[in-house]
Amino acid sequence: MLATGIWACKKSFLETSPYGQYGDEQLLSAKGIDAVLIGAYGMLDGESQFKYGENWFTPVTNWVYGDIASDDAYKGTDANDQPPMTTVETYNTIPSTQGLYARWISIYDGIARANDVIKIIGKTKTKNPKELSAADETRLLGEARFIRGFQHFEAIKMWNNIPVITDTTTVNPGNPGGAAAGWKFIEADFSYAYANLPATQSQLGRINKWAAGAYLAKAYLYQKKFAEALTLFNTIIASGVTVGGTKFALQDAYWKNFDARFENTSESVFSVQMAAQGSQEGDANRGYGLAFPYGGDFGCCGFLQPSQNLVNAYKTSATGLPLFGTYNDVDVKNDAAQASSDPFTLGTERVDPRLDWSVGRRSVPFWDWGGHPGRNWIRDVGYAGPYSPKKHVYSAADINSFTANGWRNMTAKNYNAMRFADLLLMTAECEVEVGSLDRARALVNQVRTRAGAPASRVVGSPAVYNIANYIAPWTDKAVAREAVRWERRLELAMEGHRFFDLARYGNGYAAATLNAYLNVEKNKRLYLKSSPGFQAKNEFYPIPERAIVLSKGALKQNPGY
Amino acid sequence: MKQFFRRSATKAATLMLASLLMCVVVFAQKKITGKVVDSDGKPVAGATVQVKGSNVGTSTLEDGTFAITVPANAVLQISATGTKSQDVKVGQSSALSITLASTLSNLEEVVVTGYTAQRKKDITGAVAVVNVKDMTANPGSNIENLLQGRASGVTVTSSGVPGAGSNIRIRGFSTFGSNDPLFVVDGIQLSSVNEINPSDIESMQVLKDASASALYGSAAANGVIIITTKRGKVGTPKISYDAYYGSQYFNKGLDLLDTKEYGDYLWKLAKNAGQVDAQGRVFHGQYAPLGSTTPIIPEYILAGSKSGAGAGDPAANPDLYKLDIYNVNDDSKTYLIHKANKVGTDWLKEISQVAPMMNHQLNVSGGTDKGNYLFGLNYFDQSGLVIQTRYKRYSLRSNTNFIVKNKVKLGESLQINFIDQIPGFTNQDESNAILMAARMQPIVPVYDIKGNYAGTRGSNLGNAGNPVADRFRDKDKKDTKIGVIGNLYAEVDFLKYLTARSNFGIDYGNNSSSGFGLPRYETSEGRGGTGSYYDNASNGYALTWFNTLRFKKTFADLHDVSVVVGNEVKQFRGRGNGANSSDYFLFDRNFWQVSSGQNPTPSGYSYEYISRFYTPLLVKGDYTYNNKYIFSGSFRRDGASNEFGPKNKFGNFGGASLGWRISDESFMKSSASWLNDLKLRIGYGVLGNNRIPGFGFANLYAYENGFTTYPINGGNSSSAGFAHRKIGNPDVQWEVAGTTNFGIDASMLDNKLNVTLEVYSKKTSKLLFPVELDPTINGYVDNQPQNIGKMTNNGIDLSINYRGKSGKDFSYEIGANISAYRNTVDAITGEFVDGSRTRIDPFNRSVVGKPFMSFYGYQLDGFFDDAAELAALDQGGEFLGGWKYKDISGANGKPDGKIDEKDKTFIGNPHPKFIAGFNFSATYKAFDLTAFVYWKAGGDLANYVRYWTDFNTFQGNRTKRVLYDSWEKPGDTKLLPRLNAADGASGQVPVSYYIEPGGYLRLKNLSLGYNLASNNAKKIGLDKLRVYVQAQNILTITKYSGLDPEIGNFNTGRGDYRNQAVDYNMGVDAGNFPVPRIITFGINASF
Repeated sequence: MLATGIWACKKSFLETSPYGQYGDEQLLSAKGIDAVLIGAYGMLDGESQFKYGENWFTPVTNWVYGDIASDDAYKGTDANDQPPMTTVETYNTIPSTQGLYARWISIYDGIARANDVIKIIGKTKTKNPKELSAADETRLLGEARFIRGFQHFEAIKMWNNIPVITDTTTVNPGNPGGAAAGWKFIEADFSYAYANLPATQSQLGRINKWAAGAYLAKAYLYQKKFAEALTLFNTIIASGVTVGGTKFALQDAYWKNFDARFENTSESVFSVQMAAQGSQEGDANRGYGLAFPYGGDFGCCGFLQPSQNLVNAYKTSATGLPLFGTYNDVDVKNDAAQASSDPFTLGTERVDPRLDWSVGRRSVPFWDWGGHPGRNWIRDVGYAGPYSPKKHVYSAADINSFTANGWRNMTAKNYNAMRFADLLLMTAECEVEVGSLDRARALVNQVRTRAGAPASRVVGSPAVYNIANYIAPWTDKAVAREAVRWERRLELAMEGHRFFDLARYGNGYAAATLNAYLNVEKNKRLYLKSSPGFQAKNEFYPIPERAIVLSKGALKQNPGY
Repeated sequence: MKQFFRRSATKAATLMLASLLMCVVVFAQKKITGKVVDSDGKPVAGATVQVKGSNVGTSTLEDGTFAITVPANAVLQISATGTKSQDVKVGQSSALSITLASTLSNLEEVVVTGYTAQRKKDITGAVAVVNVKDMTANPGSNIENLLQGRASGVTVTSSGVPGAGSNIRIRGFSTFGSNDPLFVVDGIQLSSVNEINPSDIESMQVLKDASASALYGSAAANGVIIITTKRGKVGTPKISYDAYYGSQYFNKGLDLLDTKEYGDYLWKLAKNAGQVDAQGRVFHGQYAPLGSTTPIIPEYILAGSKSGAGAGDPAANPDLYKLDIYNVNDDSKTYLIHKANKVGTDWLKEISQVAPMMNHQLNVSGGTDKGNYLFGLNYFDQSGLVIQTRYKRYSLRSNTNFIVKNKVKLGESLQINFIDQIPGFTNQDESNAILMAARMQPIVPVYDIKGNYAGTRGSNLGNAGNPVADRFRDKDKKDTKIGVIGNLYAEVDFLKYLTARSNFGIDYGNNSSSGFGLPRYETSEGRGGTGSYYDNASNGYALTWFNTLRFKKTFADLHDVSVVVGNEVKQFRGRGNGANSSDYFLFDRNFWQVSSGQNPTPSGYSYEYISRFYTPLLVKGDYTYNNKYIFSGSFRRDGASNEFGPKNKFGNFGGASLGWRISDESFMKSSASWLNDLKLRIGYGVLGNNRIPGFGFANLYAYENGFTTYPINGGNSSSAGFAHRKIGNPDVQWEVAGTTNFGIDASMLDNKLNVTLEVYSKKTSKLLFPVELDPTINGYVDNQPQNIGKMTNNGIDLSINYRGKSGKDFSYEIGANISAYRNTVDAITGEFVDGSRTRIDPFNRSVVGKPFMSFYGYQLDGFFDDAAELAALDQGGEFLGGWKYKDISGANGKPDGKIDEKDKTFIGNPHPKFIAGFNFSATYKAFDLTAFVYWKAGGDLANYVRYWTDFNTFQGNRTKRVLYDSWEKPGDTKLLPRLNAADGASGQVPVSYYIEPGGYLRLKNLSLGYNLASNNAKKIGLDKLRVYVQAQNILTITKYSGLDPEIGNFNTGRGDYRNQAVDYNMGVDAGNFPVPRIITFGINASF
């Protein structure tokens, strides 16, 4: 009597909404769609919230799956530091190997975010029809579909038989269509983006028509559709411009591609944008965090050390050309036996100048840090050799303006997902297969000319640099093919491409190359003796066990695992 | 909201006033005085004197006298603790003299069971009354820890972390969500009683079945623990002082390798893997940088940048030593020299200490028949076994009651706490000091040659942090909390049989935490930095307001009727904010503030939350016929703001029970004189669970710096974006837990022997589970709540208590309570529900027909003994001497020579067979002795610590079994696979090796006290003085190999599995802080 009914409780009393989160309906506007789209761009770097150290396996830079797994680099640091990376390096990967699932989630989260953009565009059109102009709609759809295609591309490089996830998927379709269905879908997304995106955008971080076209051509190349790829590459070389409207061209100096001051310039076909300065580090290139020299200002952690094989590959003949058959017979001189306090004189082998931008080695100036001190920067020289990575490592001048001020290994250096040199070399590949060997050679020489330019050399380096163009015409397709592939390795070393290139060349090329590599390298790096060798199945990674479990069996494992 | 409260408050006040006015009704009244004495003729103070069948009553003064005005024909019911209650007809006499016979029975005791109180003998639900006196005689920071083994049907697991709470599970598990019980303290619902001072507790009841706890509806599915705090008693002011001081010790250590053994381990590892050069040499950064066929223990593990240096190495010249804390990575400014510990550092010993704990309690209390008061002051201080862990609590208690004209009662209870603790130890976490102690190699010394910290900076020493250094760097960090738990009530008796009550409670907390991050200089990872500082604050409150109206009347001396109706509203609201900065020019204490950091853009945050519950109606009715037949029924309707969508906001809950006192039937009375009381009970009820993550019904997007942002402008700055965080399930609705309970209460042999037996069945349906969505189609999102299943818990609770006396000087009490439950998952949408991932896949999985969160993984099936076996089974990562997993099934349901998901099976059950507590207490003359044994029988544990210590995982230390109990040759029946540096598979998935028997029997407490005879005590001005000594946890019998078999369920805290309840990792030991051994001395004094 007394108590009941005291509260003529208003209905709204039990209606609350969470602070700081947004419901669908709050985002059905041009502004809302763009915010969700930026969220989708935010996953391009692959850096997921997946915890427990496994996020080192997820970045788009692919330093684990693309570099360590190839002949370019060792895991680095010392034994038993991140053992799953050693598992990847030694081709012992199994479906439960840590890090695979983290990469899977990071890619498919990127896909889900892109699909969200597409879904929200649809809902906005229904609910607020006047909100979007037709031009805006196709542009936003184009960006979202590029991102979706890009992430599927990352997945197909890793796993080949991938599930295709669209904006209408509600049940895991599994991967019954295999790679063919994946490629078809990727082509469709890139084609849409290529057809509908503008050539330039006001914000340089966005994707434009030409980047979409370049990725479409790259997708053709991966499928060995050389003719289609060649046509499209040629169109891009002829007419393509950067997001900012600059015609695609190589930068005057090779190293500018790895300096945050020269980003989004003429060579940038598509870069994953990174930002870091002072306390602003959220969008830093944090995926590389562990992969810095162990000593000096960096301190952590010594991962991703270039291999002796890679260093040897930069040796050149008296005529400035690669030593295809003999490059690995004698090692380029190194300081593995010397402490930093011991005297050391750099060898006088002739080398390609790109070596000293791709690899940090004793006595050669390392950015503006002075000469690389050797052992002081190496965690365990006996385990992983005397070299340091360099391209993504910050310079002293970068501190605070292009690094976070807490952990400086978080830098503002963009990831060059595709730079114009890469595109030229892919074009050369197509020319070798279906076009003109001379044009292929000209394209390779275009890249070499820039690499040999005085501006491309390390200032003050005691090394003997010698690089020249291929003067003699290529008459043999096989020779030409090998020269283009070699050039690609030298130009793009340590940029996350090598393993996927080896795998896509096909015809057992990866097995032959990597087993030859292991046979020599395992006597230098004893732990490689535990590799069972590279087998055909290793061209693709196993689909992570957890993903199969959560798909309730829809996903089928790759052959051989 | 504000407006809502204001308007409602006005209405309530108006109605309350109206009800007061209505009370002016005149009856034929008579004034009675009297005196109550016990069988020895001594006055009984505080005895309850009540007019039978009404709410009119008073209590006796210190001299046993009372005065009361009653109707002319009234019957007075007089009762006091430890006596038989007595009914006295008022008749002609106006001065009564009453002698109460003492009894061992406590059936007349009135216990609080929710919104009402009942005599114990009238209870028909499953209610366990805890012996608070025995329980709080143990040292402990909070009642959660102390409750272990004290009530049947209640499972408690604690850890040794100072001040930490416990997992309390009542009658098994009823939900996939939070299985924490509800606490009700002085009528106010709380989710934790961690901060309630145990010394303040007067009584504690555990409501275990639905019929008993139905009045708490949606909050009660996991059981309800009702706590009443102490109040002043009638009498002159009394001052009491209780204190103890104790020391805590580790029970056991981990059996890890020493420096030499670690070298042997490394060599075996490399040699077995063939990782040797042409001369058969192994290379290792410390034990042989230049290669050696046998390990060489170096003189220095770090000398500048050199590792594994020998004696006399010029790099180890102490003159080179430099440490510049501001430039730890600059070789020209910092040059460290770490000498190898050639014997081996016992890191667990280094991080542990003999830890003191103490408690001081000062109380002042007293009262008259017009009111009473109690003021208490408490100081509790516990250091942990792990160095630099500490919890201090200061608390103040004020409880008062006022009675106005015998009609109106007003009162309050209030506790104010100040808690001060050192943060930085996260239990069950891979980076806590205990796991770091296992992850540090023995060759690393604690200090370097100059007394600074040494660590893993040299090569091949792993990436652990020196836990001693890290604890010391954390020691000046602060977590403080000010908490206020208060409760104000007014109760008005009117129309003779009616009582209106309004109760308003608040639970307020104000937290702050701050700390300076000093750079590490000695570690391989996470070294250097410019100093950082954080300063965070948050506050939140829960308001509860309920109103009840109670009717109570006895008709014709046979029919006792009581009805309560009420309603309730609750609101939780809170906010938090914080800031941090870096770039400190100096790291000195006087710069530890955000503003001193020279970081041009220090960062900050703030957040807010709110949630509400509304109960438009709660009803409870009790009816007793002639003390023999008892009926009780309750109903409650609950609404919740955040949990469910518009369709499912409200849920209805209720229960009913019947009791039959057979002992009062004439046929029993005559035939069984040894039987004092026998009651059969049966009850059924339906409850809900409101502790589930909010907004599971909504699709939500969130902003997260770095994850949903992108430098879209191409420059060096970010733009904000959003990404999906939750995919909503609009159909999510209340869970329903139905319990059937059957109970027998018996008192025998002059009430010396008391037995309670309960048999129950609890069936939960529409089980809510935060389902891990398939990331392939959904991306990275929070788990989505879905009503996916059904679960049953069947069980038995038995408690037996015997109180005996032998001669004049010796009395004793023996008690046992035993509980067992069997849990089965009955239905699940989809095939299974997994627990949370650690670094490896989840150990726990729930499927239909198995107990909730059983252990799931590969079953070991011997070793790969030869090439033929290797060829016969395709396992992935297999090698000679490696573990074989049992090939159980394949694509066509039969073993297929291939190990994959289909071969995983159930490898353990974390649920105990039964748990039991045995209590023994005796007094002989001035001595008293108590002993308490806790037994958890069965129940497996997953020893995830082995991931770090037994496998090729990082470069931590290893257990002795790794070196001495690994496969060496075909036919070996060793524990572990062959040491193999290339082994990347063993231990990387849940496998039966992790599962160990987790049962244990523990002498929890042994205590001996001495009472100074009151004459002696009075000589020194005291009424009473008791001194005692206590030993806790001094004996544990277990087969478990880890530090402690008492493993609380925990939350891995993995960001990628948010909102998971702790029970998803049931029985997983991930670096648990063991319960300490404690030796305590204490005194109890009053004057």
